[in-house]
Amino acid sequence: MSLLLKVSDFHVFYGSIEAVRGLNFEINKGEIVSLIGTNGAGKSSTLRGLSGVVETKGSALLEGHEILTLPSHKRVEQGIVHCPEGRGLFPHMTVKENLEIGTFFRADKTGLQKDYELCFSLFPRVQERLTQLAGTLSGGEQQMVAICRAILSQPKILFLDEPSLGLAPLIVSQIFSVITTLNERGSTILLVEQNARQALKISHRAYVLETGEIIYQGTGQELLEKSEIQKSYLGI
Amino acid sequence: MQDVLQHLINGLSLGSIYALIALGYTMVYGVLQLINFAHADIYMMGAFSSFYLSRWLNLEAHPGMGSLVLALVASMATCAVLGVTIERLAYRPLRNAPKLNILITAIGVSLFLEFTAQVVFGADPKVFPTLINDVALIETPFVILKSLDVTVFVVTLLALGVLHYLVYHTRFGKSMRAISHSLTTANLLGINSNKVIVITFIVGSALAGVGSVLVGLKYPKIDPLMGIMIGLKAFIAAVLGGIGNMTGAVIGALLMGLSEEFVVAYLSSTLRDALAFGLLIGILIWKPSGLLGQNSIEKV
Ligand SMILES: Nc1ncnc2c1ncn2[C@@H]1O[C@H](COP(=O)(O)OP(=O)(O)O)[C@@H](O)[C@H]1O
Ligand SMILES: [Mg+2]
Repeated sequence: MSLLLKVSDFHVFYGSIEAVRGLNFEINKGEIVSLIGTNGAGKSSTLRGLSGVVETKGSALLEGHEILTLPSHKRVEQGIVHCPEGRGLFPHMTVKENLEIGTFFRADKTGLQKDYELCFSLFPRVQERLTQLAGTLSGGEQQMVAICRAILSQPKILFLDEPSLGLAPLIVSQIFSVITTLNERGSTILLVEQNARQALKISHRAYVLETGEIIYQGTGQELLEKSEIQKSYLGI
Repeated sequence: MQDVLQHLINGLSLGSIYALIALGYTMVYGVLQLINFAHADIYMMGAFSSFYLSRWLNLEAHPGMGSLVLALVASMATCAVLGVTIERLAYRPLRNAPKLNILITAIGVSLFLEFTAQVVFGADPKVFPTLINDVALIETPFVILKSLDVTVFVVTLLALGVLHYLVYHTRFGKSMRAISHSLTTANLLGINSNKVIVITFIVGSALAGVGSVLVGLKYPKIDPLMGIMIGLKAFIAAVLGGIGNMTGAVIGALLMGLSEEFVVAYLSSTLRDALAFGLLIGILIWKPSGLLGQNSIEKV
């Protein structure tokens, strides 16, 4: 296993508020790693900081290269691709335009075509809705478009922030199975979920966050069996 | 009643000029949530640059398309360079500062340009050269369609056509609309927002440059404070349409031009400027987000 992302002494700030306090974690190539924790623990802030849209301190090495000094758009080009909480679609643009926006920096036409084909095979529904305004889609369809848009940005590592939030159970299991499929095809994924049980089930490893700090870590299976985790996060 | 048609033509002609300027306000507001008070003075600088170019090349001796295009290019280029410079020097360093600081800076830049222009060009009005011959193309007892009005219309339509293409069919346009909706999301998608903001200033300022030449042709008297009133009206037109919304800006500007023309024609010319402010107060009371605006109101 080779190390893809190494985060050390990582802090996130909103003005004077420190939302993430000195995280250390690693993600290997081909892994699904989950960040779980209660509302406000700092999961989204961690992703936002790594993507460069909030103020940070510390270090994050992608394949040995520091990314925290890069502007956000350069990080995307380097392969840090973030599918944000709440999906972040542009409601007044068509699905097609929403997808294109994630591809502006790509020059490889054939690779892009292949990625479109992958998206449409994972989510045929997205292909059917290409000309529709994104704001008129159901929540589940919006999440599918958001995941497709992220795939089209050619991630080395894909950040998924609460992809199952507010969706019907049937759609949730479809989203989780797509995450597994993507991973089996070689994608590395950093998953943030409140739905801890399902996240841990598909994760190789996971970190538990509380008030901006890591309090537990382990394999998905270990954490599922840990009694503190069961009590606080799995409702057992 | 037949003169209604004439007033309609005049009102649309005036409104389309307002539209060219209103678009700059609304585009910049869209990407930065900033009311660029210096926009009106960028417009003024455009008028002066084409004035001096025309004098230097003696364009008045050869009125026609060629002269008009030269003046337009000079004005658009000056405005674009000035817009980018202001963004770079005054607004970008304050990108993360409180909105009020940036607003005050915008007012400061505006005053700086107005007074610099008074020192450099002189405070007295100058006569803008006649760059195209104004002849009546259609003349009936009720309606006169003059070549100048047609030119204003055609140039405005061309400019709006180019803008429409840029905004809806290019990467820049899609990125700009993405930033207008959410800067953070746009950044997450690999959009270089600084670059898009610079191009927005170029395009918005160049449109004001087009407007300044057209105004110079129609009302051939220019002075360093010429931007203030027309800028205010264009800004109100943008608010009327829903600030940040480009279609709204065009509709608001046409409404503004038409209502001004009709108020002057049928009520009183002293109400010309009062109308604009009446409209502003009316919108702020009944529909603060404007005709097509969806965004919630920003406290300014
Ligand atoms: N834009 C913001 N400004 C100030 N504080 C914020 C902002 N966003 C999040 N926070 C704070 O940072 C902490 C972590 O939030 P977040 O990362 O969204 O948590 P999670 O995603 O784990 O629910 C919370 O205390 C929250 O109130
Ligand atoms: Mg969150």
